[in-house]
Amino acid sequence: MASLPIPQFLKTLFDSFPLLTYPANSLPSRCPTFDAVPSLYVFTTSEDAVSGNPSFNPGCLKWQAYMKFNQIEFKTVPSNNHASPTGALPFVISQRRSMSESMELAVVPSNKLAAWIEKHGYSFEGMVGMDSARAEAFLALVNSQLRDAWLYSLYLEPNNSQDLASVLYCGSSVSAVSSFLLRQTKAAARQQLLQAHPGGVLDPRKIYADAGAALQAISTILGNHMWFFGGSNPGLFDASVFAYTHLILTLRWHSEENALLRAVMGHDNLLGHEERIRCEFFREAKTPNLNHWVWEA
Amino acid sequence: MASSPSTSDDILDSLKKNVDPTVLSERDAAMRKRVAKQYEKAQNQLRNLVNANSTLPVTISFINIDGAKNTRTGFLRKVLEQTFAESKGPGFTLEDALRELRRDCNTFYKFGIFHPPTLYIDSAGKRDGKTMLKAEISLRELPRFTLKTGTDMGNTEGSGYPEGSGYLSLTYRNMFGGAESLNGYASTGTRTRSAYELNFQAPINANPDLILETSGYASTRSHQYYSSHEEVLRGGKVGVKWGEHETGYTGVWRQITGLAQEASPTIRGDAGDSVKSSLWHAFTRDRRDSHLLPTRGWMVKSESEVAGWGGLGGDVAFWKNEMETQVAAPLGASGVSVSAGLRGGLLYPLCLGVGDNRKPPQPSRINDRFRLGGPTDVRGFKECGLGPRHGNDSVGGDIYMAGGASIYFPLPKVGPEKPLRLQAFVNSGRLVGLQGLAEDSGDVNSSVAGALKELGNGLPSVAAGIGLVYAHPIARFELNFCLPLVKRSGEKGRKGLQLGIGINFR
Repeated sequence: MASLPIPQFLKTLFDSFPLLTYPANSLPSRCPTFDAVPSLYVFTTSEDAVSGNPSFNPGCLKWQAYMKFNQIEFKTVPSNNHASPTGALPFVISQRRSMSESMELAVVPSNKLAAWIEKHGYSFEGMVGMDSARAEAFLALVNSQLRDAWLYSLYLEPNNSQDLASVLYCGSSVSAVSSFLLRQTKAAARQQLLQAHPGGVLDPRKIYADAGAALQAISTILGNHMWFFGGSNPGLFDASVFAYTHLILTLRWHSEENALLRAVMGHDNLLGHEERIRCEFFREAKTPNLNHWVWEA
Repeated sequence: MASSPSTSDDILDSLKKNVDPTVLSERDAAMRKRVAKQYEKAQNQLRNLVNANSTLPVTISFINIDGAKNTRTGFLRKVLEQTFAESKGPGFTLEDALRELRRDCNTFYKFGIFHPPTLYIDSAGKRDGKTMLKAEISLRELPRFTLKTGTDMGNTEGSGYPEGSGYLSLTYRNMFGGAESLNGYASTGTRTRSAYELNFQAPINANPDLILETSGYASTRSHQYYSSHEEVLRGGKVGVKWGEHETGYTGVWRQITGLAQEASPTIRGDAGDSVKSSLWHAFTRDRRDSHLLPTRGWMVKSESEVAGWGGLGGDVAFWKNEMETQVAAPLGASGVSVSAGLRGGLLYPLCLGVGDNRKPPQPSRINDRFRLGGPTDVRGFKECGLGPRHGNDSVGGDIYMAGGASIYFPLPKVGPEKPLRLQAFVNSGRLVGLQGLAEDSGDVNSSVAGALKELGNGLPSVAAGIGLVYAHPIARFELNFCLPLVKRSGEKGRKGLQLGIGINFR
């Protein structure tokens, strides 16, 4: 059809439709609006989102903290994995000026956040990048040993999964839906753990012992420094560690399923590190109720 | 009626096989109607025969039912109860007896578990000055199990784009001997990626016009074409159908997932899980001569739904109402006819829950908002091309109004007998969202008033065109040349040719 020659007057006539174009329809109320401030989509409650409190998910909290370290102004939006372009939170939606000077929205998934933050954040002198081989090695400790123990204690310890994971991640007004979602989430956590621990059997003692060793190593590398690797400002590694230590210290673990909490409590310098970041960047965040836990231990 | 998937290129051929189950049931209904007519004719002859004796006082002494081996006696007796009761009356005549027995036969047939019944009547002597009648109703049961496989070709709600899908359906008829039926259905396709349903129906009190229906279902529907997501539904419903009414309860867990890379923030904001728990009612009165190409008659339809209100629970709370009307009339005897339709819908947010857990009315989600536009809906606009948009995504609206008028001309040499027409149409629509509602504040009434005012702001979005309409027995085809005349910036008009295939045309 495209090859047919169309007389010019017909084309002009055709192009004159529609005869009348009104301004665009306004979006319904629930549709999000965007201004100059970027939005970070994380696992959080709507109350915590308003006050900018830490996300309850370590993967999200890491980037939330890192953005704060970089003095990026942003708001947090409660979300879930279905919303993410990669299938996992967090991600950022920000406005960017396009060629035509009109504002365009860009979605930045978590794997591109580091570069995005570098571009948009305030760069500090003496901020330690993540490129050193040493940092990489320690980051691997956090992302494997510590993460495995986190997954195990949150999703596979029976009481924690019922009282914490279910409420945080599988909240629904209908209990049948909640329990279905919890079952799915637990199966996913188990699957992730089995990838790291082949053989089909998960030994919690080993998982917690590995995490304990990792925390020991992290604690040793921090030593008496303010921040990791002797930086004068906190960096991405500090954010990664804080994301776990803060959540491990503040979640209301079941008293018989709090091995991770006890492991963190054994390192005073990590407690201090968590407190420094919390006090400086998350003033309204929950404080760990240490007395309660000491008494329990 | 079973057919298997075919690879034939001939679209009409494959269409004949690709029958939507709703169409099948309509066809069944048509056949049943035809048979019932013949039956009525035979009865008329009989009536003439007995006309002379129509006032003869009679009583029915017994009715013998034959051939219903899988049907419960109690169930059969229930159907005949009224006939026996009436036959004891003093003024019961032969004419009454015939009418009653004929009604019973018709009732048996309506359960959908028997072939057309046959009726024999004989005299069984006289008692107390009354002629005793014995009747025999001969029934033949339909097979208890029916398995159908094939390919569907239907339109997804209001889309008008053909959907190809394969399906498998198994029916267990007359399950407990009381005309109960259990139906399992599974399908997979392009738009409805997968659908499973288990459905149980049973007449209440042996009344074929009062049906209890319960079903459980799971499906995945693609909305990628116009709003960059898929919706997974898992739910159940229980309802009662009587005549033109249907009412019931639905509980469904919805999941917005599988977002496209370019999905707009509105879709991302609504992604994830929500539960709808709602009571609904639907009423349809259809007096049109054909629903695919009506030339005479009218239709009104109303659907209401209350979700999440009071103790209903779930995550969404609203009152939703949709009304639709259509009128058709012939212009003289030339075969030219006109039809016009008007419809509208409103979604009114309500408080969710009761007591301390009561939450203020929340703005609607994309799952619940209306969509508008498309070749079977508002022609001259793309599927869901009307209403608010975020980026490339149609996000739907809370209030809509749409209407259209068509004039149909029979084709020269083809004539008005063939279901083929030339049409000229004008149609319009407007879909708007409620403004100024926040999660925890906002006045719903003023928001609705504002949106209603916006509906009347300027001309609605309008398109006009001409085209060909073909009402094939299983679906209606339209090929139109359309021109959008008025639209809102961003609304997706369709300039030029537009093809529409579907069962429900507006």
